[in-house]
Amino acid sequence: MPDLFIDKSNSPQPEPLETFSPSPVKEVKRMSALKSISAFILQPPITFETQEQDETIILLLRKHVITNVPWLLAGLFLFFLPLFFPVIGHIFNISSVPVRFQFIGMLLWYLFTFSFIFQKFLNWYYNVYIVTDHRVIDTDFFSLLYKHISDAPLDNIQDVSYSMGGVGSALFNYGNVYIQTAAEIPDFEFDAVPVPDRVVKTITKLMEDHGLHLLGKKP
Amino acid sequence: MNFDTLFALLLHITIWDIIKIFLEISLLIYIFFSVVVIRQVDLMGHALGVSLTPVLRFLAAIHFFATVGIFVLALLIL
Repeated sequence: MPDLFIDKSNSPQPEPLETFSPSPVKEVKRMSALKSISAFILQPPITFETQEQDETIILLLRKHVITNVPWLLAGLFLFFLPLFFPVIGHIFNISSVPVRFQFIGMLLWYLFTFSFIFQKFLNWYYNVYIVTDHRVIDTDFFSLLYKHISDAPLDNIQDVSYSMGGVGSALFNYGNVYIQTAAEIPDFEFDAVPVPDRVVKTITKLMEDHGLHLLGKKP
Repeated sequence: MNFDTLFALLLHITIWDIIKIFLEISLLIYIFFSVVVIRQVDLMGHALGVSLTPVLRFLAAIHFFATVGIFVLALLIL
């Protein structure tokens, strides 16, 4: 005889999904945010100013994250230095400075510290090297409002090599990638990019694919 | 204002008044700089469409408003 009613109050209830598994949307957002500040991103979900419609970004490169350590330390130093102002003030007799000036001075200090860190981060974050299935692009921002974007089609690339030197480079696996191009286009140098051997391999592979396509050997 | 009044006024100027004028002028220049930073972030975001650009635009705006706030505060309390 079929059951007409089953009392589920005593039966074990399944655990809600949220408690043992992170929300997929949240996880994707978290990964996306982490990925966006990476220095080596394969097929990044970004666009750039001069991108063509049929152009796919293969690689986005920045200087290795470890190259940011000097300005990060400087920023930390500037941030925590006011903690020692009482000691410094005692030495240089800052107590004679009116409190309102000390207060504005402190606000200005943190404003400049923020500005310093922000500028350094912007410089790192937006100075990128992009490898697409058509070309390589070097985006440079100098000082505040000057930008220089240069690119070289894969056809014009003659040689790709890399060099690694120094303790930091060996420890954190970063180096410079050199791209030699046709005479009228200046050579490219990707400074301090992570895993330079992989970058060289990727560009070489793309060039091979491009060459096969040009020769009509692509199936 | 005659010469004597001006002279008397100049005699009453302290080092802190001079520092205040210097600070206010510096802050005015810095406000201009913070506007340039906003424009810079805008240009960078236009050149490279990355996910962090809105956050950086927001931070640049915060930086600008903080600068204006400190400028006004300095005018009021110094």
